[in-house]
Amino acid sequence: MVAFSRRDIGLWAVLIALLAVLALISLMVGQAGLSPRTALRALIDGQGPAGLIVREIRLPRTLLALTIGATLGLSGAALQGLLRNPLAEPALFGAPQSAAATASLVIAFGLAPVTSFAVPLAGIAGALLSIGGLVAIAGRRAGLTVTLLAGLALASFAGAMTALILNLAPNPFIALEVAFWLLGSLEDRSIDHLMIALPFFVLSWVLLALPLRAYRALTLGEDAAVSLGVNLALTRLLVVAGVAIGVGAGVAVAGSIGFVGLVAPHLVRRLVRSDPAAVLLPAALAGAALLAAADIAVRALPAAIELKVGVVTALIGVPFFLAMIFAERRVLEGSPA
Amino acid sequence: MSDAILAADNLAVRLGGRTIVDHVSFALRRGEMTALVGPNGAGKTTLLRALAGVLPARGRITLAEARLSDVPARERARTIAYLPQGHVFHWPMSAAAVVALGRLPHADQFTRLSSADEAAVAEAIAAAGIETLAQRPVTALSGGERARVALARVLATGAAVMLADEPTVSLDPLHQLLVMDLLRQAARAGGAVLAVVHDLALATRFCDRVLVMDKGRLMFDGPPEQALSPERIAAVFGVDAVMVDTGEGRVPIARHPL
Repeated sequence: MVAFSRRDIGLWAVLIALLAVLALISLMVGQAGLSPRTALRALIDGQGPAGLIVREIRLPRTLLALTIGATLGLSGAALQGLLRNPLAEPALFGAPQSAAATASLVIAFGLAPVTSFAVPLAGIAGALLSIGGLVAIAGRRAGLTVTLLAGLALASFAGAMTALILNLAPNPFIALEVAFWLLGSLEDRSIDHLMIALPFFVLSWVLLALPLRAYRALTLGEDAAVSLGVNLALTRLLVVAGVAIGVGAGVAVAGSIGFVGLVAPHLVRRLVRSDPAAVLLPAALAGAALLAAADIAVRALPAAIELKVGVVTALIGVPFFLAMIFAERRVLEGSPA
Repeated sequence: MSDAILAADNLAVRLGGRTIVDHVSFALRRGEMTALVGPNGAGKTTLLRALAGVLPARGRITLAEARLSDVPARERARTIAYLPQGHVFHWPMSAAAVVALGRLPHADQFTRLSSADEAAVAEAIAAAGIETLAQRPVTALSGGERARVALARVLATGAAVMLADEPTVSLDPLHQLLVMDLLRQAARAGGAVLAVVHDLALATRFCDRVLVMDKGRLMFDGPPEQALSPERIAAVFGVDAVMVDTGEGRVPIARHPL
């Protein structure tokens, strides 16, 4: 049933090739620009200053961009499949914001060191609360208006909680550190960050890929999907947990990075004939490509202070989101609350 | 009654603290096309959802000797096909891809459509007469076309029981006849069909049997000419109806409110 055509496999190949190119560029770009050949040799032998730069600085950063981007793209596609709504995305429902609130609570009050498992776990708990809350509020019919309003409320609440934590932070340096971290960045991340987050990413990928058949059946609505043998409660649980674990861990190591989950599935949806199951892998690959490209852009742009990648994705994502709302306006205005 | 495949015994469904369906007992038989009629809010959709296993219910639903709640979801899905109201498609997938969803209960997690699945999909597409629409996105189709795609999806499952909620609503006369005829063919081929129908003339013409529901209760269960007499139509629907001879049998036509 969830079979993939030759066209799907061709699309995967193109996207993977694109990722390989972006990964190589990502190893080349930075304060010390390297040629493709130098970067590759440095990656393989790890000799000299180039080896140090590529292996210790740029490789972790590149791998984090790829895995976080893939997680965000996959999360967006899974949420869109569950809620049958092309505007669904983790950030619109306050998942990264909530993860940021709980993770910053841990950091600001020094409950645990930044590179411990406590930070991603706190982030996951926050994301779990917000996505679980959203799915509970949006309910069976998952009407567009209710879903978006509930997401807005949850995102605002998470923002307020973060502000409160900054407000009450024991000293201004910690508040500043948390504030910068919240902007979302892959700067100065080590392989340790990757190792903390990676198990959570892999777990989230597995959870989100399990309800493949359900995403496709849900195109007919929840009743029809259940009548086709879909276990809706289990599907909801898998998606909520998968998004929360992936996004929570991503936020914990890289701060809040928005809109990749919205944009990535949209870029590839037409190429898989709007199939909500076949879109998952291309959406993940597109998400990885988007974040890798954004992270290359922040390093390539001439600026005295490096831009935060979360700022860049939001700057690109918000106009994109508005354009999508504009395109969906008829549906939105006619949607029953 | 040996042909009974899906039976409800003293069925009751409560939703949001209200009893929507109460004391309902009947059996669907193979080869029989049954209409479910009743005023808006009578509990018809709720009854269908309970029979499809979508809603929990009190009382007993028996699917071929077994309690419905004990039947594994996939096996239930292979035996009972359910067509909800409104012919909803959330994504602009092709009509053929939507029809193929009817084979979901037969397929494993990653398997391609087997040749039997492909054949069932092609057969359903041909039966519904939607060959020319197969590659078009469902969201771009007209109401009548969507209704036939939705019906083809249900036919493709090859289920012994078909539950259709208002399959003809908002269709033009030609498509109403086509859809009712398809359902009747499915019954003639050995299926048990239960369809919610608001057009009492259509129900009389196409169905072997009519269930009349009002205020959550089953008021009558029997052949159309007895179920839809002007007296019962007056009592249940509150309208004055006359029997009109179409030349192919007599059908009730509602004239004015009582």
